Amino acid sequence: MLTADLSEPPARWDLVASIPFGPAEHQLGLELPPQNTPLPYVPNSFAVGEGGVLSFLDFRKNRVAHYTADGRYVGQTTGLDGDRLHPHGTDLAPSGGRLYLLEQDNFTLSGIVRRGDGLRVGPRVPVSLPDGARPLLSRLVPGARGLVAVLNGYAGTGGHEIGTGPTGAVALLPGAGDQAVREVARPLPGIPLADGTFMGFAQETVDGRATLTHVTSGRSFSRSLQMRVVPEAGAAPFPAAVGWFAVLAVERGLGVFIMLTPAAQENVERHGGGRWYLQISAGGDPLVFERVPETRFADENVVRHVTVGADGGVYLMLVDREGVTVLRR
Amino acid sequence: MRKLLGIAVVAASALVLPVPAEASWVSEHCFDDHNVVKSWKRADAKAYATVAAWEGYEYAGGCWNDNDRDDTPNAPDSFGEGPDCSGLVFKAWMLRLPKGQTGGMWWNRMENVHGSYSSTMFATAEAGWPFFVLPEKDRMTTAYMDAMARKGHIGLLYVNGGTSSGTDVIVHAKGDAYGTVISEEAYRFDTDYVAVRRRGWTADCEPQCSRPLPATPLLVRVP
Repeated sequence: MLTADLSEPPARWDLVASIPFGPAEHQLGLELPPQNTPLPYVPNSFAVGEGGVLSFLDFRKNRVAHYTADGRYVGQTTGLDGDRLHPHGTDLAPSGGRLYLLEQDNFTLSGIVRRGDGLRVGPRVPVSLPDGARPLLSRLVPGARGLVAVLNGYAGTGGHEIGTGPTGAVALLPGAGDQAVREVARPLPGIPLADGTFMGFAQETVDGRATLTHVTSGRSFSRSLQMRVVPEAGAAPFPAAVGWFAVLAVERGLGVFIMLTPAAQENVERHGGGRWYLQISAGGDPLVFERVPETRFADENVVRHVTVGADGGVYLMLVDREGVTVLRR
Repeated sequence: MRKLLGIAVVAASALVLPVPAEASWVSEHCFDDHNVVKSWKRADAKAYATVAAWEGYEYAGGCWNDNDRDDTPNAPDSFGEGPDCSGLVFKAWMLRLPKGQTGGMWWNRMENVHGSYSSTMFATAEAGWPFFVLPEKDRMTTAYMDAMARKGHIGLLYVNGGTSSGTDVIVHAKGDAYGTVISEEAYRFDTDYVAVRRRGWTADCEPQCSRPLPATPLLVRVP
């Protein structure tokens, strides 16, 4: 049983870099409501590559912007689209020394992967499941062995309704030539870890239960993780809506970004909610469970708040009115 | 403690659509067509919103066709095609004018009407309005076509269950760069969002929800 104490202050994470918003090329893009968007357009994902290179999916400027480990601008990868006629960039993750961009089609929810080498993004590769159906690939999984994406059922085309279909993880296999990946994704028993095992993580209900599965040598076991939310240490828990997101492969286990809020509006008013980081060992034991820093900015368009870097470290991206801040645990 | 918002808030007054001075997509294509309805189902609201889901976005807008493309690309704020987030909900929920009016109204998607409510008004529903803020927002409480709303944005839950990642599938007008889309979002877990329900839904199974038992039992002869 994990206990989220809403009175707990966030753990201290170390500052890596701060990058301001602005119109200049070296600045990241921001668009505020209300004329063209109800929610701010901000960088919605980031990755930390070799040598600590920071890459941001800069939605407003239709590019991936790259910075040194201490935040100096070094260049951009162009060729992304930012209109409703084309797929939009959703997530970034490095794999095998390359940076991959996951896009969601504007008209269907599916996974289209492009390779972000060099100064321009490579050609789009629409991804299908083995049965030919279009998948809803919601995120990539940084740190996994190979390029892996989270599968959340069908995209809602070809007679397959959104909210149905297989879930879990899929492998995106290397493609030939300029093609970043093969067009058919391969379902996996879980997220492949460095030691050859697989771990799966799925939310059961919104009252704070999740299922962790572990597959090794063809055998699998599962355990249930449950969280309770309290207003302060020693107090009775109250019902909460708990979301377990953005699974990472880290240190032979998994890292999970959690957002939670009291279910009852009166408790939201009194106690607010918060964000936590959970790290689970290969055996399924919680190693880390701590509240993380957050801002008061409307960052709903951020898809990836935490990632694992090429150095194995865990990084957090914060967004506020002034710019983006990257912290390292 | 609620997060403070670093964004502008849509004006709380009724959103009356101004008449465009020059010819626009709205003036050239949209027309009045609406009628009173006495019942409204979630299934109908979902079907209505699904038609909008591949159309455009227009701030304070409320008129769209069904050709699955943006008819006014790269032309924001020009009385172009599409709703904004609160306008989509007004029409999908078959609400009536003026503000606070109960009952239902079916609006042709081609009628340019935004409605009397901003997203902020949905999120802070007043007593007696045709919608209300649910006391809780867990998945045991909400149902599809309920809304997740905050000051500045609102979207409709597209299905009852969540994804295996824990997110919700939401249909909403998400901005000029997205149009009106169906996407997975984590609004439920954001302290700024409340769950809002339209009053008076008719059950989807009506009028077949319960069938009367036959007056005499059936007799089946087994050979």
